Amino acid sequence: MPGSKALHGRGPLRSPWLGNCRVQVPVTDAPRKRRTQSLGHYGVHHVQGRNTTTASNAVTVKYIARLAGQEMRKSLLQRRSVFPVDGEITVIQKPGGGKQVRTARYPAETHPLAREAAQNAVDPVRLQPVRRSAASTYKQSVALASCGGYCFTGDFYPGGASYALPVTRQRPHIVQRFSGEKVGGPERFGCRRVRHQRKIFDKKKAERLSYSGCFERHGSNLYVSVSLVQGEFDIPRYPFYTHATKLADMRYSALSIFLNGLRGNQSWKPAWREPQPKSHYDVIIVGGGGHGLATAYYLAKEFGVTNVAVIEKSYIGSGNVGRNTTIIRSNYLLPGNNPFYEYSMKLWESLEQELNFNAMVSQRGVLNLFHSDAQRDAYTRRGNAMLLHGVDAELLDRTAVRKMLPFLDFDNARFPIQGGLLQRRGGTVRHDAVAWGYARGADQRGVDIIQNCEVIGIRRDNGRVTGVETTKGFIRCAKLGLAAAGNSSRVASMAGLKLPIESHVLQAFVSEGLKPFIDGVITFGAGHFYVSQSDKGGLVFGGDIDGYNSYAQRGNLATVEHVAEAGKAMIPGISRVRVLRSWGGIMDMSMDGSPIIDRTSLDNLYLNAGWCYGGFKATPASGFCFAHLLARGVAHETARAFRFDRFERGHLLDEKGQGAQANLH
Amino acid sequence: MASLVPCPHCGMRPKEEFTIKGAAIARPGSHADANEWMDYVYLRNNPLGTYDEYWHHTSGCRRWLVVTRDTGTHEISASCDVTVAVKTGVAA
Amino acid sequence: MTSYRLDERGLIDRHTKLPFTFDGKHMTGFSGDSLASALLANGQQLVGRSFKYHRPRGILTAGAAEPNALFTVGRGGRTEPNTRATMQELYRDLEAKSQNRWPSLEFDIGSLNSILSPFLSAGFYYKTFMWPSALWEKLYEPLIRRAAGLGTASYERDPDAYEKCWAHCDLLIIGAGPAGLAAALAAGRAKARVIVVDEHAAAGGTLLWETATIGGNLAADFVTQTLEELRSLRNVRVMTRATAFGSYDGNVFGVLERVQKHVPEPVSQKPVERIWRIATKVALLATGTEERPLVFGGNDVPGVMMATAMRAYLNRYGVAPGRRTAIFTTNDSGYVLARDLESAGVNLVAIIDSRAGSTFPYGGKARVLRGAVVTDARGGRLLSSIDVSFGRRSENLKVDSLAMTGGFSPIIHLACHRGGKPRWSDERSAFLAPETTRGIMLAGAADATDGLAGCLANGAARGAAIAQELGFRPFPFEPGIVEGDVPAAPARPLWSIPGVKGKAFVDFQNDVHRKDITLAVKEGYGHVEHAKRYTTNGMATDQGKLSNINAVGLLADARGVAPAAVGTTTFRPFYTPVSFGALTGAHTEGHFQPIRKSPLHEWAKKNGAVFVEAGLWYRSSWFPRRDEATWRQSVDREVRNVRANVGLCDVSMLGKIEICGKDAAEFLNRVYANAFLKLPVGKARYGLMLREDGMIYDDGTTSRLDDGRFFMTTTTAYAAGVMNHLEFCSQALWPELDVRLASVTDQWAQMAIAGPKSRTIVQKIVDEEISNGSFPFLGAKEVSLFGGQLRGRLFRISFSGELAYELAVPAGYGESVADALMEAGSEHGIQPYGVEALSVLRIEKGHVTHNEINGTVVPADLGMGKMVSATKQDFVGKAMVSREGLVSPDRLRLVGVKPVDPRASFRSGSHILTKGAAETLENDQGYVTSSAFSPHVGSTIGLALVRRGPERYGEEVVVWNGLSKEFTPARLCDPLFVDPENEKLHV
Repeated sequence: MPGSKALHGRGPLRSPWLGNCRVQVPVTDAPRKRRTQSLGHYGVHHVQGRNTTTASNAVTVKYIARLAGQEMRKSLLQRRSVFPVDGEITVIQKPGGGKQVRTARYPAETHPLAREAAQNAVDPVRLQPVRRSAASTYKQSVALASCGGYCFTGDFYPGGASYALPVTRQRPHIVQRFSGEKVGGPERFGCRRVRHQRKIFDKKKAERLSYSGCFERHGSNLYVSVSLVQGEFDIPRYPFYTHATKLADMRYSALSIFLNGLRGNQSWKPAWREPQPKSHYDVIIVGGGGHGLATAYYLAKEFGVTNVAVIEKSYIGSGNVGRNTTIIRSNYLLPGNNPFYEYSMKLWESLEQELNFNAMVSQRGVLNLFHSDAQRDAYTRRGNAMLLHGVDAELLDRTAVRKMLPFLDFDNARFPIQGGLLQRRGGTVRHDAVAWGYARGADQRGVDIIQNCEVIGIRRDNGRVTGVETTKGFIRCAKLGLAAAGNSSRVASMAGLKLPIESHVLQAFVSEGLKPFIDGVITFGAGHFYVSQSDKGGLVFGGDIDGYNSYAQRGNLATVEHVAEAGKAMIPGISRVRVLRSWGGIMDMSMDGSPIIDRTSLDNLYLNAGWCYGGFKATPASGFCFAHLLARGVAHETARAFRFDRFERGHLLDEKGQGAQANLH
Repeated sequence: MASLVPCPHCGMRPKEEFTIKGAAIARPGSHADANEWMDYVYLRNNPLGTYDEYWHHTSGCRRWLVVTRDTGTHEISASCDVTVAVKTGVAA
Repeated sequence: MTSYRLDERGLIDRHTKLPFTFDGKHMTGFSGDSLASALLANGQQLVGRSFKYHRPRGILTAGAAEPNALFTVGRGGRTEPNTRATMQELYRDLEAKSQNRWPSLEFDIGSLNSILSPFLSAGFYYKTFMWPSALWEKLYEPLIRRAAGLGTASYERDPDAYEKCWAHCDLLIIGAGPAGLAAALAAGRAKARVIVVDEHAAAGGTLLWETATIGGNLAADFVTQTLEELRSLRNVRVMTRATAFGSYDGNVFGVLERVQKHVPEPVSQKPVERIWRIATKVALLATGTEERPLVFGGNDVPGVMMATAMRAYLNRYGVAPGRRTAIFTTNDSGYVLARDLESAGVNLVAIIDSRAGSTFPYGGKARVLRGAVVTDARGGRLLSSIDVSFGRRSENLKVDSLAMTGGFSPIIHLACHRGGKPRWSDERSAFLAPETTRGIMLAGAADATDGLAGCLANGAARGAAIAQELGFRPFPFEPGIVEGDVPAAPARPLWSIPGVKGKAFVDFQNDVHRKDITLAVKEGYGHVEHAKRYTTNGMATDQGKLSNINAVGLLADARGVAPAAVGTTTFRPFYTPVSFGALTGAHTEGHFQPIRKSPLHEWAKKNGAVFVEAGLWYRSSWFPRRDEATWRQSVDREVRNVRANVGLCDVSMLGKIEICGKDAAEFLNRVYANAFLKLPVGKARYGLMLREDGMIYDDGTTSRLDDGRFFMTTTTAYAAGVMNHLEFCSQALWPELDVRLASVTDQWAQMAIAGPKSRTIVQKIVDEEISNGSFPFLGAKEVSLFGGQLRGRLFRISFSGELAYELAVPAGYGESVADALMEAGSEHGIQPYGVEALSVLRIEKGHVTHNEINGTVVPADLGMGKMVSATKQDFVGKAMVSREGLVSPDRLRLVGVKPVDPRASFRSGSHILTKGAAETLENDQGYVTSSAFSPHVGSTIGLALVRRGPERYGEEVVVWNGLSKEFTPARLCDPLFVDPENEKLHV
């Protein structure tokens, strides 16, 4: 079916800036089954939903209820199944002047979800429209579920209509702040009927539309992104405004810094919540590093999967995303790698605006020096492979390198510099900020980031994973994604898998702060050394792995010396610069030096591993492609080569040609 | 103890004298099937804890050793010549 | 400027005046001064500007933790940014410059940042500078980069030398203070091999400024006596100016010795710095404590100083901190300072003791305010007054200097470098060393011992106990009785001072203040690691020595948990920063890697060779003649001469391995993919060695010299790797085979004599008959040379495709044999040829090297599929080489490639595209692995790996080199460009 792809978020609706996007989804004549029901009402919580499913389209409609802080997605209606309601269904509310709405009532004391919610109660924040578009059209019982994670479901009607949250001045809706901090708001979360101001929709068409999606915040505006649509219509921008400045500071900007600064920086809010794990998630990601958090972010943002938990044994970003040398580049050789890393680079290039978090993506160039004809030929081959894929590459000769970096050792070197391969779009990114930015973005979309929660077992049943045992208890999941980097083998072994991976320690270093000394990234070709200068002034550098299997995040003095020797051989002037600190990260060195993003022998267990020491630059694409795989079950086009079975079948992705010895890659 | 490695022939020597190959696992016989080879060539237990590895005393006696080392602490608990290891089944 | 030099007091040599400059100002200090003490003595209290707000800063400490007094010292290639004035000994004509200020230290434009500080809160940069995105690299970032950083490093080459060495001992004592010295004596007298290292210029630690007496002696005299005794013990070595910077596996400690950092002009015979790797059975950390600052407003104003530092300047250097001083203390140690200050005649205004219940019997003149705190210090470039709050009252005191002490934290870095987690002690309000620290013990104040007497006794006991543990007979050592000491029992920590108005700094250098920490918690960065990374607390050049503990305390307060629950960030090397120069040692410039020279190097040199680095080797690349303007002319001539006459090439750097034993043939049969079992004696065979994953590892020829004796050659690059591999195979895989291996690469000089006239020339020096009949192609035998004067090995193998020999002679004879061959060949036009010509010759013959064997090709890719034995039961790589992906017909396979227009050329690394295909990676058909101009063909030729290559001979393609915008129409062809029938080999 040609248009069915658009059902889940990709396509023209990808932009968070929902301008007048046009979505086309084939409307079929297949029999439809409609069902409208309210999903719950207990305590401070009430959710309504409306569901339209068609037999052919297998539309997934999510009902999401947020019980004061706890998102409770009561699963999905797949195909013709109906919404499973555990509680007693009664009519408890009859919105004024409108049709009767059936609602389900869960006894607050007894229903497990309600109990859970009560335990995790956090206070909501108020959302109030201050201006409405003249074209706004509302329909009765536009269902607003969950405001907390900014996820909702409901019906959508064509005709150029705009939809606002069904909020009345008297009884405003409650939107759960992601911060979990109490900022006021009414005690009751009532779904109100909203009168449409102009009835301009076509009822017949309307029936064919249903949607779910999530809110985007931009400044003080909330935008609705729709990821599940049928029919054909325009979606104008959503004129949601809040009257509270509280919402405004969720969005980072120079203005927000200014306003907060004036107020003594008292009103900043947490960048992400600290939720307790729910009993069940659609997807659990093991590993709260760059890749895990990016995966969760893209799952929620691009694929509409928001009932997601990221489980991290320590603090988020405690692994390699906070230990690397911050370099990004897409100067890869092999057709299986190059498009993937270039895709990653493209995502880096728009990352900060997308995340509204300045990760200091800085494209000051990556230069790989070469010192022999053989190296020149290898870089020529690589540079040409890059150009063939539209990636920027330049081959500099010795004179050009000298002009660019006169302070390198051109005159006394043991291995004179012959030239270099330059990728100007390469550069560095503030690594911690990547983890934080993705965490914040994922959290805003309803993902639970659960820190200090270690996976200690993977429960399986009949070839499927049923959930994970953690230090915070057992958590069920429909799909499990492993993104545990250096600990991949250990986690996978809990599911009985043995990986083509060894864990090795790689050290990195930073010097004392200096005034600008080196602009871009330089890698030495005659020894193991690469360096860049952070915005803070420290020279950040590294070399080769220590060479032995290790789970200890620390290295060996001999390797430190080796790296320093290469450093001084490249830049003689560095001699009196002092090295401030060394640290180590655990690399998941795969047997051909390339990663794996694939399904495993277990039905619903997915693996993202084998990044060797190239994982940081891959973070966005890794997250995107893994999310793609988790959501759709098939590999993203740029990650097709990262198959698990390539070793068995002999389709290796060996950039360095070193073969099956992990410590040589 | 990855700074110093005990060589059964040369005594405690600095790590830089050695080359490390990785897991000390027995090579499948000539009639082994594809799975066994896959296991031998590509798959690794990669445990946190004690691990038998091949170390080559490259700048020393040039013997291959099986070194038993903890991957969490780097402590080496044993080191023996590979032929001894093969005989005693350490590397099997 | 109110600090000044006292007329007496201190361990400085007042007879030796040392002139020096600071920011161009001429000043004078004394021998024995640190740069910091000399500056204070000269009244220079403003010494730096902070990182972010450019606030005026003064000297805060007297030790390694100094965050403020960082200068650029020296000039030219000896320029050293970020040098701690507190650790830098003063020397004659020292030049120090302040950093991070413009235009001057006194007037710094950057201090405007201070006004903007509400908008520069922790992590503000994560929230802005995002729009428009293109401005980041162009505007925001350059500004940030220029504003950030401290000193400016030089690009000049460092004229000085460095070195590295190993040392071994039973006991390494780190820190030569009271506990360290006592331990050294105890263990030294017991005859243990002891090394004592201390980071300062003089051993003694706190004893150097201690006014208590030991056994009736001055503390400083006790140090002198102890050192004298230690130096008399041959088993003890005391190293000063030596910082233990890291603790590594195997109880190896990295120690940086500053050999010549305290002299005006280093002598060239000695290094300026030396790195020791000290392998010890036990290490004893007698590292003392770090005093904690107090977090009140303006705690960074010049004039505010750590109490211990003030005491050190007073007693060790004879420098008074000011004319009106106050002390802000949370513990008894403040009173010792008070006593010393008053005895030195400094006007002490007040002691502000945060403890309401303190009952210390202070007998001095100053006011004592108990239960009081300093809330704010005032002043710009110098302290002018402090706001003191006690009870509900507050008072402003005019002072020009203030000592602060918030208690003491044991210095436990080295005990944590190997992964141990420090543990919080409620009793001591401090983090102590991890429970288990294998091979490391602690002594004295670092071991949470209070007081001088306690430290001496504890050190002595530890030293004796360790010696005994190591099997030495302990020797009793009783330090004398200590009088006049005030043990500073741990006091309740004072993380957060109520009523603070100004900025209260936690991390001085990185300008992290109290509100930044609370903001981090508020924004969800409350984990100690998140807080560090978000606020940059503890990431300055002192790595949090002063700041971390206060940050932990403030985080604990803000999160409402105990400090134990907050924990610490990770202690990592280096304890203090270490220079690249020191870590590099002598491995610099031409000595970065060793140099290998062929036994024929001198021969090549006198024949005019141009050398090229090939791995560690220097290889002769071509031999230019005077009339040749370009290298191509030389290479073309050399190539033509080989094909027409004869050439001589040095191939000594090929790896050479002697393989002996009765199972040698079987062994080779298993390590090579092709058969070797039945290779006859006297024959050479080309062999392909695979990796276990089926890819080609290396190639070379192996000759059978005798039944149980083979001579293998490998490629130059893989010589060492193949040897390791063969040893692995023989030792680990097939120990049952009787095989012995010896690398003989360096034993033989080997030369290739190639060309139609080679036989004539070789026959001139070889005694045996070598006609085609008696010594055919692939013959290999030991020969007698020069009428029996020498024995060598002769192989009839050819890389050039011509009639050729390789002659190996004992390395020492290489040059004279080569000379003899040149002489013998002169009438036949013999010329030396280098690796460039060698490369052209082999490309013309389609011979592969590691350009083609790049780790991703299997034999079939190179047209050698048939060589892989189908009958052998087992060989390395057999099992994996037949995997689906490795036998796919779609693989890239070796072909020749030639430009359609002979005048056109292309380069290695170019890709191959089908003619007319769009220039995309999907359409990529392969790449050129080797290319050269072939004088024989008359154009550039190349070898390439191309998808389904051999099926496509004759097809026109584009050799695509986007990097140099060369897109050359070319044709795929058989890779044998010369003598396709190999007739020349057999003549």
